[in-house]
Amino acid sequence: MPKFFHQLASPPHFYRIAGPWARWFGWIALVLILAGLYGGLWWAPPDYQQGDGFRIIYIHVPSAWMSLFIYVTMAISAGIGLIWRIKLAHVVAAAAAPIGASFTFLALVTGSLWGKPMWGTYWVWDARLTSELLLLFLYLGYISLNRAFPDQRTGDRASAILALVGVINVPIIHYSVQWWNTLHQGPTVFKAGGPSIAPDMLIPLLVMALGFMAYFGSVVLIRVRTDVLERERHKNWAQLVVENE
Amino acid sequence: MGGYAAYVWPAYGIVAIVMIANVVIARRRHRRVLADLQRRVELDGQEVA
Repeated sequence: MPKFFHQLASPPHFYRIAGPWARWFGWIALVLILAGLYGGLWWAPPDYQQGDGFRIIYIHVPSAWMSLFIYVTMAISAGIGLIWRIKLAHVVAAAAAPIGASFTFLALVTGSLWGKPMWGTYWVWDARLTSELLLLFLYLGYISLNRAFPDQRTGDRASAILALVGVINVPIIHYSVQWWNTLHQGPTVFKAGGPSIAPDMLIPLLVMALGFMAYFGSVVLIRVRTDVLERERHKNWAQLVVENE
Repeated sequence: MGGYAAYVWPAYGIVAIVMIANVVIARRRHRRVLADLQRRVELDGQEVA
């Protein structure tokens, strides 16, 4: 096992295996997302209260889950980079950040478009919405800090510390709907006693969430390959890649 | 969409745009970096010769 991780953290080895993995994840994502769209937009019945308006759930909830999942992934990678000084871990964190910021933005926008017909407003400063907005600023802060220094190693370390401090916001987002009296509804899927949503509506949601996960895997691997090649351009292996591709 | 079309379709549309853009940008950047490095290698070769 240690040998496996050691090899995985070696940039040339990672560059080689990440290409096919990115392609596979891409195809899996495409199939799952198309299936999720079919299930969410046609197969699932309209909600008894919200009619067809509830169908925003199939993009809003997976986006919101990804915004948290990617943040935790980014913080763990950045932490590994900080503690064990593994360069590739910082590269993974930096590659994940823009994708996480995108999903946070999408969770906010789709939530806003869902809020207007259901709550009568696009935005309200309740705990869930405000803490999710803070998450977007954490991502943007990480990205700018990571790129702010002439020496990339300084940027990696400074942004890693921000990423780790920001982790405190993740449980706040998750529990915000329980700790505070929010306009946003409470948890439907991850809650004690199991999900309180009909299977016909839940299955497309889970398929979509898996599709988003595979999508993240694919895009992050493409970005890591680019970054690792750029950062290591003076190394022998990178020269070989450049000459042979 | 039972009267909700004005909210549902824009939501799906913006998700599609952002997700497709992320893939396109990542792939284009990879090709650009690779081409950049290739050009640099060729320039180095000329200097040596």
